Amino acid sequence: MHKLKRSDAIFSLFLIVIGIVIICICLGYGVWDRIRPAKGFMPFLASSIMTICSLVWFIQCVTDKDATKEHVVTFSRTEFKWMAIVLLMILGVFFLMRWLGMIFSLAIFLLVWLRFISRLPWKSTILYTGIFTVIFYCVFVLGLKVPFPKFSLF
Amino acid sequence: METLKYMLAGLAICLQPYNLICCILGGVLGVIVGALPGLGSVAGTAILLPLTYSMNPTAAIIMLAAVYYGNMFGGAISAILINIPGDAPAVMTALDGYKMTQNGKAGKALFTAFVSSFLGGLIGGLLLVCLGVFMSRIGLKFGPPEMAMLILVALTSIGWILGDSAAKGLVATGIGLLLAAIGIDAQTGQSRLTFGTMYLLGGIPFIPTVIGLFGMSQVIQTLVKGIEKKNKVIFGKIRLKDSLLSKKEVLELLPVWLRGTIGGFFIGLLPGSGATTAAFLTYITEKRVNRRRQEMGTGIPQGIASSESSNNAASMGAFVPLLSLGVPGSGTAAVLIGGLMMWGFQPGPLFMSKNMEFSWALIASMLTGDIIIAAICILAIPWLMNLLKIPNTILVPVIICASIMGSFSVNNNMTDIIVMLLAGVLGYAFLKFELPMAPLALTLVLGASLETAIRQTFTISYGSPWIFFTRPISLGFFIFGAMFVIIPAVMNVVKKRKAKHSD
Repeated sequence: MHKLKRSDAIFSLFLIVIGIVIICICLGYGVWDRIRPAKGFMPFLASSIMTICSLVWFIQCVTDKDATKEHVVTFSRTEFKWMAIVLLMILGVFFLMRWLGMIFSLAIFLLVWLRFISRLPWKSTILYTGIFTVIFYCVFVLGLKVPFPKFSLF
Repeated sequence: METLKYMLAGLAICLQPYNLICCILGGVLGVIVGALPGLGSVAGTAILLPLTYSMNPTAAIIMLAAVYYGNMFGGAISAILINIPGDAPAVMTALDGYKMTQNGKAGKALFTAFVSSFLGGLIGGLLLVCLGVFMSRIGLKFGPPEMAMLILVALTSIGWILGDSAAKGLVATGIGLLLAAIGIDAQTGQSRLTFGTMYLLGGIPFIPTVIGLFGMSQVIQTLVKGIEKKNKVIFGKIRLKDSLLSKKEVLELLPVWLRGTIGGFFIGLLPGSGATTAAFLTYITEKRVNRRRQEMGTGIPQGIASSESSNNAASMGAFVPLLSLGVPGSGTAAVLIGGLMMWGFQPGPLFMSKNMEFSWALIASMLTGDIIIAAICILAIPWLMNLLKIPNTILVPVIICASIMGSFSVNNNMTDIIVMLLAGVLGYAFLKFELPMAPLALTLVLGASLETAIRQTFTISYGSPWIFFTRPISLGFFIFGAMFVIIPAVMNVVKKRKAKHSD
């Protein structure tokens, strides 16, 4: 694979660009104020470290003579698929919470996941959903009194 | 001799049935809260503070102190079993702990963690009794330059040492410092890198980020590899006997416990440093000096022993400035000071001399509670390991639910769940590119303290950086840190040249 097409080289380049942008923003904030660091000092320091080290990493990627296909970082369709499933399901829970509250939304999440993704039979799905919902309720709501969003459909 | 007399008097008070029950209850609650991702010792102690309103002050402080060090025991449980550190000090425990679980040695990992926590608490407590007041005077010599250099050296070292590439480690450190800088600048009160978002004015929350980085990224990795209906690791009949350390392992761990405990205690007594700094400083020291340093991070007990013994010793050390000076050594100690004031005590330099009975009962209860909680945790190992028998098909969605609830519970803010998700994606990218996550998590915690210390230092020195090199303790840390970095680099170069010449 061409060295410059390697994902890690691209990622390090991306970090270099982000770092440079943030350095410019910090120079706008001001890095030094007469005798003490100004508002932009710490992010300037952080982004400088990140940029310089990302540059070193990029150079290591490009000059790596031993790089073979096995060494190269790749992202497969499966990875993107699972990331999308997890993100979409959690976002779904997030929106359901407005009406169903935290506990009910997570119970539905568990039910859907156990049945359609883990492919458990309905009996096991309902049993495990019930058990874990009760555990979560007892620990977080009754025990720790965390004020989760409540059911507000009616 | 007098110390022994006070200690025995304190023991007599703490062994009264009501006080003993409070100690055990507080410890168990502390372990449970510590094991839950999302609630650290500060939140746990603060949440359980109202439970003590109706108690007498002695029983109340005994219970709260038990919650504090119980947290240190509990934080290791979720770090080892599911790779989600229960609190910041457990981040280093997760490095070796979870690897041991993946290698089928979860029981041994848990046993190592609990024994290390016990020894850290015990030796830390004894150091507190014998050297507490003297050590607090050394702690007073630590000003902003010393704190700034300590944190700088620690953060640079951890970025340098963890992972297979120093550049990658420092990239993670830089990203963590950048995330820590988002929010309101403490000195000017102006927003910084918030891009007009109200939510970011409060900064990036630590716990949801850690849950996402460690927990959600692991979930994505598990899903990508393919969830299997049965766990591959077959435990058979789980017995406590199988989790015990062998004689050889104990002998190997003895110097680790000693270094971790003494280092952790000393760092814990520095105001503002806390168990997190202690855990990762001792871990990186161990990574430099231990015989099996190359294997640390791959799943050996040494990694767990170092961080767990030091974080418990640090929690004991945090009581030194609390009791002798009225200055909290950690965030949780600050909550305890609030409790003391609530019960009518006045924390300060005269606190211990004016409240001898109370103070020594507290110290005695910490030692007693340490023994009892360690015993309970060790006996619970077979039960805890049974949790691993739950197949991933069920465990994965449960972890996701626990992560969502844990993230929300920190600030009761829905947006923290989004932060957790984004951190999960970032964490997965870190896993793919083999960037170490621990430096990012730790710089997120310590970034604000570092900035404050640096600013105070430059204010004191009127902008001159030489203050770092003219103060002996600060210079000592600089030399220590430079040796950490330069010596291995020089040795590497020498090795490569020797190999080239021999070719």
